[in-house]
This record gives sequence, C-alpha cells and structure tokens, in this order.
Amino acid sequence: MPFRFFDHTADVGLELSAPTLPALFEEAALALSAVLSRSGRVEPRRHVSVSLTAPSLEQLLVDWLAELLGRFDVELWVTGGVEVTVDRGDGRCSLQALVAGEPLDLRRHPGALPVKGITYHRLSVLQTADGWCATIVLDV
Amino acid sequence: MYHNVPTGVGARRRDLQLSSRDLRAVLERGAAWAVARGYGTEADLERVEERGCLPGADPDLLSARALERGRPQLGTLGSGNHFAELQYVSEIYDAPVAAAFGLRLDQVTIMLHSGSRGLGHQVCQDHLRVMVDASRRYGIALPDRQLCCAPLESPEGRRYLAAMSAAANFAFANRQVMAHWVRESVAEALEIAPEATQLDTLYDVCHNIAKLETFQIDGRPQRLCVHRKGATRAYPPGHPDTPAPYRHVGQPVLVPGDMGRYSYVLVGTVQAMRETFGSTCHGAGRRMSRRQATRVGDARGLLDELRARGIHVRAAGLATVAEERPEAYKDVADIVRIVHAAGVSTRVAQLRPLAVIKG
Repeated sequence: MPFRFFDHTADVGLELSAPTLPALFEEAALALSAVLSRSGRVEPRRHVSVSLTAPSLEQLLVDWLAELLGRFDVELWVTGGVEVTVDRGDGRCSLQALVAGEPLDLRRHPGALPVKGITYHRLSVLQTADGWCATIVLDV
Repeated sequence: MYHNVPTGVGARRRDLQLSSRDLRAVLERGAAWAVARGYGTEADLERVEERGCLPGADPDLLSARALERGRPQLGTLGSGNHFAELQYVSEIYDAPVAAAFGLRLDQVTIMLHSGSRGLGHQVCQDHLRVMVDASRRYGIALPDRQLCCAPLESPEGRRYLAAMSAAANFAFANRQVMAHWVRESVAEALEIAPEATQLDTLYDVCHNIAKLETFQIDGRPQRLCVHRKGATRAYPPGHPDTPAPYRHVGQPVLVPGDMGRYSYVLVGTVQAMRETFGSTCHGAGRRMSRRQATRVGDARGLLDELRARGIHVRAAGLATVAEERPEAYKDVADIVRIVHAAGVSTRVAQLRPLAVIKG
C-alpha cells in the first residue's frame, strides 16, 4: 500500500509516496477515502470533475483533500478511483481531476470516521530519488 | 432521544429544513433564532453563555461550501467525541451551589456535547488558508503552520473573528434545537407535556473559542481577546456576564468525562478571573489515539461490559464506540481535582452516565 497511517493522539497522520506527482495526489484521495469509509470498498458509480489552483504544492494538497472532505460532508461522497493531472509554472500549481466514487452507504460500508479538517501540522510534499512523498495530518 | 436527535454521519430530520434566509438568521442570531421558532423558551436563553449569540457575526464572510455543509446539519449531534448522555447526580460536593443550580442527589440530568458541525470546520479550513499567507506577510515566525495567525486588528483578523462568531452562533442554535428535541423525547417517553418534564437548562457554555471580554489589568478594565482552547469559561459570582439566576454563586461549568465513568459540574471563581482570564478545563482529553483505542478491545465487548454496569449505549457506528472507550481518555476526576485545588473553578456535583448516545 503506497499510503501509511501513523498514530497521533487526537488526529490521524498520513504518509504517502508515489512515482509521480499526479500519482501522489491520487494516493492522497484514496487514503482520505479509506479513512472516511473505514476502508470500505467504494464503487466508482459516479464521476465528478475537480479543478483547483494554489500557490504551492503543499497548499494544493490541502485544498485537494479539503475539497473531497467538503463533498463527503455535503453528499457523503467517498472516492473509489481518481485520475489527476498537475501543472506547475509561474509560481502557481493547478490540479485537474476526474473523481469516481459514490455516496457512503452504511448498509455496505463499515461506518464513517468523522474528519473535521485537513491540517498544516507536519505538512510536506517532497521530491525524492524514487518520485514524490508527502506527510499530512487529518483533524479527527 | 436516539430517534429524535439525528446522530452520526449524514443524519438529519426532515421537519427542519433551512432556507438560505433561515440559515443567515441562525448565523446572526444564534440560539435566539431557535427560541423564536419554538425550539425552547426565553428562560433557556438566560442560561446560555452570551445568551447564545456572539455579536459581530457576519454570514457574508462564510464560503458557499461552509453554508452548504451547515444547512442540513442544524439540530444534529455529529460524531467523534460528541454525545448526548442521560445521567444522574451521583455526588454533591457543594450543597449551597448545587441547590442554586437546581441539582440534587440522584436527580436525572441530560448532557449534550456538540458544536458548529461541518459549517464550523469549513470556516476553520477556509481561514487557515488565508492565515498561512497572512502570517508570512505580517512576518510572524511559526513553530508549526497549523498555528498560523494574523493581528486581531488586521483585515484578516477581523474577518476571521466575524466568521468564527457566525459559526459559534450556529453552534448555539444547534444545541438549543437539540435540547428542545431532548425535552420532547422525555415528554413522549413519560407521556406528559414537554413543560411538565422539569427539564430546565442548567447552562450552555462554549469551548474552543476566541471571544472579546473585559478584564481588570493593572487596575483598569481592558478589552482582551481570550482564546479558550481545551478550556471553557468560569466566571465568578457577581460578574455582570454571569447569568442572573446564578450571579450570587458563579457561572456553572460543565466538564464532560468519558462514557463509562463520570462528568462534573463546577462553578466559576474570582481566582479564575485573577489567574486564568476566567477560564478552566473543558474535559478530560484523549490518552490514546483512535487506533490505539481500537486495539484495546472490540466494541461489542465494551457495550456488554458497560451494560452490566447499568450504562446503555446507542451508537450510529460500532467503530466510534471502540475509539471512544473510557480508557482512551484521561480520568476526568484527576483533571477536575487539579483545577479545584488550583481554585480556578470548584467542584459542585458529579454526574454518572445511565445511557449514552454516540454518533
């Protein structure tokens, strides 16, 4: 599994790694979905498009997960698959995504872990010899 | 109660639908909006911090997403450490103050813990983004970016305070609506009128909030922004903002514990005004992460164990029960003993759980 959870007294930490930047953002979405759905199987029944712009990769990662978290709160949206493109240039980063998923169904999913927000605590997005890695902490 | 107060992710009641105008009024007026709509009485408002409405709230500063998240969530309990609990008074420490609060031994009480829900979380998320940038522009060095900030008098600071006040008003209205439905639930169960339940609000107090309040500093009154994080207000007897029914004894302080042990009612003190800007502890705090707590044992075993001790738990999800198990929290009695000994609030009564509703 390319993402890993780490313990934090009142929060949930995520460590992500991927060969490319788009794959890192895809992993982040699936990791959040695994938290929200308590690792329940998510079917790609519907698709939504997401478009975001931010001044840094770190802010883009926060915005990306905050967008998906907001959708969860409004329509119980959980992500089962995602295709991301990331562009960088002129001091700005942008993301285009096609997200596949469905509303959480408590008859099929084992419950939901409430996530309050996406924090900046220990936030990092770094390029490594093997690709990219990120750390992000969810406020639960 | 479990049927009448929506509990858990996505839960809502169909008989409370807010229009955009309604939501705006909730954000501006707080608990008073709820009472005007028939959710509770004027007597309730007298027993809510700031009468359930922070001034200066500006709904226009909330994002479309914040409003979208809040609209279906008014009158809902939420998940995580939020709860509704049927309790009884198991011990009285200060008989005169307990009498002033209307508390007596073996009396049944109900405690609600809930807040501004997704609306408040989105206000936080939106403004963190602004503050990360503002901290840089104002040259504020941060040990952790989650502590990002801006001067209170800056445009960013003022806008945040007005947005946060709107979220606080949503929280006041949220608890007021739930309190009303709790009253109706008890009335239904006992087959009596809601007015006959004798379920009077003891107090509704904020925690995790920043407020402008007046304190004596160097012998003169000064307006300060007091941020109570992991803390709650504990005003003394005689203070003009201590609600009139309690002004002769001090403000009630509610300190929830965990679902298996006890919670406390304390009273605010003069010493808290001198030493902690009228503040005390707001709860036990976690001792274990959620994952650690689930490794201790499964939810079904815990539910059986609690039931054997006379504590009945209803929960939207079993996983939450395991994460919220009593051992995951510090013993709130220890915390309360410390603030009592420090004199920043003093013990009035202990409440033990009979039935617990978790999201």
